[in-house]
Amino acid sequence: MIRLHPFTGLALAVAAALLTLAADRWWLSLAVTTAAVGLAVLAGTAARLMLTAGAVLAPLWLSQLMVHALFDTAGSEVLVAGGPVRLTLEGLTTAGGLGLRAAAFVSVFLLYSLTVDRIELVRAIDAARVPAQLGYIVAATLALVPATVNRAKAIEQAQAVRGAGEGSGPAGWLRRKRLLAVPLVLSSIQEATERSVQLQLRGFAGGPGRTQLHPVPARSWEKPFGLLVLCLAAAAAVLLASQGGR
Amino acid sequence: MELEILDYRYPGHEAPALSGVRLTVPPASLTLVAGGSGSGKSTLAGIMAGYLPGRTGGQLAGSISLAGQTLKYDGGAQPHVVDLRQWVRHVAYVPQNARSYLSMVRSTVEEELAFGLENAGMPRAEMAARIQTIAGRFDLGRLLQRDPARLSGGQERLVAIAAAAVTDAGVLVLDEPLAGLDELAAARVAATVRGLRDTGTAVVILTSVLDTRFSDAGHTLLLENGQSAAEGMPAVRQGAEAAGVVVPGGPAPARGGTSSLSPERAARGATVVPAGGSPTEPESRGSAAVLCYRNVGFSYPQPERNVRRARLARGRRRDVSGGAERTAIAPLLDTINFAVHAGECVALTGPNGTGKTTLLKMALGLIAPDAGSVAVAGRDTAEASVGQLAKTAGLLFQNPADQLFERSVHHEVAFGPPGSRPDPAAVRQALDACGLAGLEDEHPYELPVSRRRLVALATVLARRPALLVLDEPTVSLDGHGRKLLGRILTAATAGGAAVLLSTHDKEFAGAHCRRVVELGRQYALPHEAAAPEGISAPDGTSFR
Ligand SMILES: Nc1ncnc2c1ncn2[C@@H]1O[C@H](COP(=O)(O)OP(=O)(O)OP(=O)(O)O)[C@@H](O)[C@H]1O
Ligand SMILES: [Mg+2]
Repeated sequence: MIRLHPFTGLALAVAAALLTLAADRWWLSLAVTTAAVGLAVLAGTAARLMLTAGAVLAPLWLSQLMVHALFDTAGSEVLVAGGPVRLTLEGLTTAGGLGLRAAAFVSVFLLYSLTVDRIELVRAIDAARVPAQLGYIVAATLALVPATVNRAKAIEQAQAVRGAGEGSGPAGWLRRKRLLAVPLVLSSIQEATERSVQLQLRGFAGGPGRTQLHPVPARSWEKPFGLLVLCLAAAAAVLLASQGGR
Repeated sequence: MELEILDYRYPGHEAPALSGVRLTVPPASLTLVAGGSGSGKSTLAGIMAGYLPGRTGGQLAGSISLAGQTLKYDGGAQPHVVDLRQWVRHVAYVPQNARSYLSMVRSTVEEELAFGLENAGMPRAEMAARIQTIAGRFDLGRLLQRDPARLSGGQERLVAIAAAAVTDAGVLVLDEPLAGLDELAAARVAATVRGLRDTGTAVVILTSVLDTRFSDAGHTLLLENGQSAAEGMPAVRQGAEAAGVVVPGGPAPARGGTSSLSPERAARGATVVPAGGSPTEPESRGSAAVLCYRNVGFSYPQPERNVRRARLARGRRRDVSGGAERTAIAPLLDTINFAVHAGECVALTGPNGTGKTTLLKMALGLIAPDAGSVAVAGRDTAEASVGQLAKTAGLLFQNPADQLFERSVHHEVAFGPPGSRPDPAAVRQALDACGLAGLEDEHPYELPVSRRRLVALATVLARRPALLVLDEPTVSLDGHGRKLLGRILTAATAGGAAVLLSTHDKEFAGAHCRRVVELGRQYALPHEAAAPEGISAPDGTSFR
């Protein structure tokens, strides 16, 4: 796979999300989701994408199903009725459409965050002329993700060498995660404060006129291409929305 | 820079952390501030670095002059907050935990070195030139394209010092700059410090070891309990030991109980075992090996991103012949053979980045060898979980930040999953042995680093392991801490435990360990490493 500049990837992701959200066509949502999963397979992160997306989407879908499908009061074509449950065709369609849009939205942004080189993104934001403070906050937050992952690994090892690594299978896994949770949260807070001081001590508080040793490479076509895609998506979104859907 | 600290208190503390400390740091000078654990060194460093009192709620009375400006503090709770963006142009500060100096928002060591310069807005060409110079001085060439998050402890420190030195700030504050560095790296740092001083930098070194490399310091100060106890090298040297400062080459540290190990005996007992096994391995001493490395080989996988980057970098520099990819890199560890028996203490030495930590982590199954096997109490680590191995072995991590995660010293030392919690009596004993009585309710992160290290050690001791694996236990311990450690080692081996510790401190190893295993012949002669094949000695020892 070719590697895009982090902003080009972001433009594509935003465009796709915008289009599906505004268009509200089930086939478009489905196509975007499928494309995202397909690209994830190519990038070798399909398993993580599906797992994370599932974790995010399952409660969302469930709640939508409850709100729109099971207890729908407006629909006319009743499929199943009994007690408080009233399943209508309209309700099911609404829930399905919303669910698919959510799926497209989530999978597109997950794909982006799983494939983007975070450190390159930080540098790209650094180099872009965003307000210094904003750039700093975004960069520090992004840097926090791998730091937390490392921290979790370290704590898990520290606990394991004190006998907490016992137990296999889901029960053991769950026990280990439970032991991990509190120390991880506490030390992440601690580390975030410490790191922000340290970053400031190295002059990273933002400010104009910073330079970069190796700017993130961007091919000459990437910027116009990204802008074009964004504009087209916005235009299409406006058009589709004004037509009034369905 | 001029400091006059009448009084500094941390929020919620009655006793001042510093009081009556006066320090003048003229350009082109080297200042050494020695002090034991908790003497206020790091507080002093924090004030110099500009982040204390800042927004921490600390109270400072006194004044600081820097680059022609004077800040006055009246000891109120709303101190003046310095503008760090301006401050860092004048002062670079490497904290005791060098890892925290690394930004972790850059993916290679090269960019990490550039980080401070980028933030100062230096043009690219100048940046590249400076990085090349500093990398040459510190011999970081091999590390430039590496991921800063995957460095060994010593490499972390070296990179951090290089990243501070490269900024060319007028004042350079280094907290324990030589801790955990090998001889060569320490010599390089000392030489660079001297070079910087000669070109006008004011260097301030805070340390708990009076290293002879810095004996030419222009000004020396001994801190004790937050007060300056002595000034000038002779006076400092005299008061050092009582203040908990280590004086290398001085009188041998008291080894609790057994003073039987005279230097000569220690020297006779110390056998240098080259990497790759040796005929000098003491033949069966009656007791079974508690820890046994057999033909261990290992390399870390090359992360994909860095390979790609290295390729990119090569592509940019057209002059380098691109064709020959470095396919076969010499493995980090190659046919390592040695054993540690019950009741003996073995030291593992070798330059930074030769795989000491890697080897020690194998004893607990945290890292699996690529080749060969590691056995703990006769059990292959490949067939046991970390939790099972932890019943026999305890590991002290190189960085206490990797070991401590609880909210109080007591919780920390008594930690254990249900069923394998350490015995309360053992916890008590471990706390006492490490000199932590009375500190049970403190938060480990609020303790001075030396104490924090002792807390980490106590967590290991509380489990009463038959095998103690200690990764650079002397680093960041002050003189008092080292004495405690010496006593603990003696008691442990007398009780039949086996100890394997890594260290760069030859003196400590000589005094406390029966044998020394030296790693890293591979890198001792870097030019021969390019030879196609290592030469194999008849006994299987391979020299590269
Ligand atoms: N997680 C990792 N991934 C890749 N490489 C690593 C990783 N950890 C360490 N290394 C590299 O492996 C080599 C050996 O590291 P190790 O930590 O074992 O060295 P060490 O002998 O303990 O050094 P020190 O004296 O500095 O502590 C170093 O070059 C280090 O950069
Ligand atoms: Mg190490």
